[in-house]
Amino acid sequence: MVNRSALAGLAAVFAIGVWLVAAPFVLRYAPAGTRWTGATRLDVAVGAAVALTGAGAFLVALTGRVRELYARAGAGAEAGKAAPPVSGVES
Amino acid sequence: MGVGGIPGPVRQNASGQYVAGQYVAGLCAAIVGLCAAGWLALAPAAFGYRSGGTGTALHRATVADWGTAAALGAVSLATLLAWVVAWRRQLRADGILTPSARRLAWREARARRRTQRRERDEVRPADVAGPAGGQPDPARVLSELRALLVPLLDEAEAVGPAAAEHAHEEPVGEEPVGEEPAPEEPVRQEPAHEEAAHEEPAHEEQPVAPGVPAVPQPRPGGLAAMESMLAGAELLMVACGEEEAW
Repeated sequence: MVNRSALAGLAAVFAIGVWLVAAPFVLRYAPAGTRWTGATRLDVAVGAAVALTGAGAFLVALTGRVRELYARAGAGAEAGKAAPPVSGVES
Repeated sequence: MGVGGIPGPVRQNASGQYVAGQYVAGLCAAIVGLCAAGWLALAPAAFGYRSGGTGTALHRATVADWGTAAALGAVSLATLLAWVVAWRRQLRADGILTPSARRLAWREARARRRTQRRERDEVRPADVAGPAGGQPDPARVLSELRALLVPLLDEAEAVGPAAAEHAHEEPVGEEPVGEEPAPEEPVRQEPAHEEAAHEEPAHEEQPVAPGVPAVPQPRPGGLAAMESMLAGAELLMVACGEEEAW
């Protein structure tokens, strides 16, 4: 029942967290070798939290989705075994 | 029983494992994302790095934080809605969450509108193929033809031979006095087309109904064939109508 847009949203949250971690170095308001400013520390911390949350939720959702698929496949196989085989005309 | 402190049903799948964890995780991640977006929007003002120090120009970190906050807020909101919809759908499919009376009434009204629209679409072609635009009514056509032909037949009888008039004036079922009654009996059982040759005995034998007969007898004056054809056409169209009814 978990649709792809929900999983894609979690992946996007993870990507935004990664971007937030990398933003100070990409935009060069925290040059390498210098001491980190308050903005840099904030962005890295918030970005790491968002990225970890997004990644963890994505993995949990993906695991649950795969588990549902396995359960559904097992139920289908059991139903196929329980159902009588379709044979020809019995007389 | 709740999961992670959130009250709500926790389901088990066919193998007995909890499957509500994915929905809770998705919702939690979306909520964390929304909170982070809000924090990023307020952080430049809170930490004092909103302006770069030279005039009114914004700091690069401010631009990055605000842009990221906007994107993260939109994505988190969409993700939250997607997970809410997915979870509700799952609960409804399992029968845990029942639709409200208002929603049921809305669904019933929509189904009723669809049924009415379908019935209206089915009735419209039948109206188009009615008597106005399609095939004419056979009974009406025959009655109109009869109304047109009866004056012609009466006129032809009026100017016809005297023998035909005499035959019509004779009473029905009366046997003529002085004629030979018995030997003529087998001859009267002949088919209709042979009776047309024997004009007077045939007219004496057939009872004349007050209305128009189903198969009128052929009459002299050149219109007998037309009348017979009309009667045959009527029988044929009645038979076709019965076949269509079957």
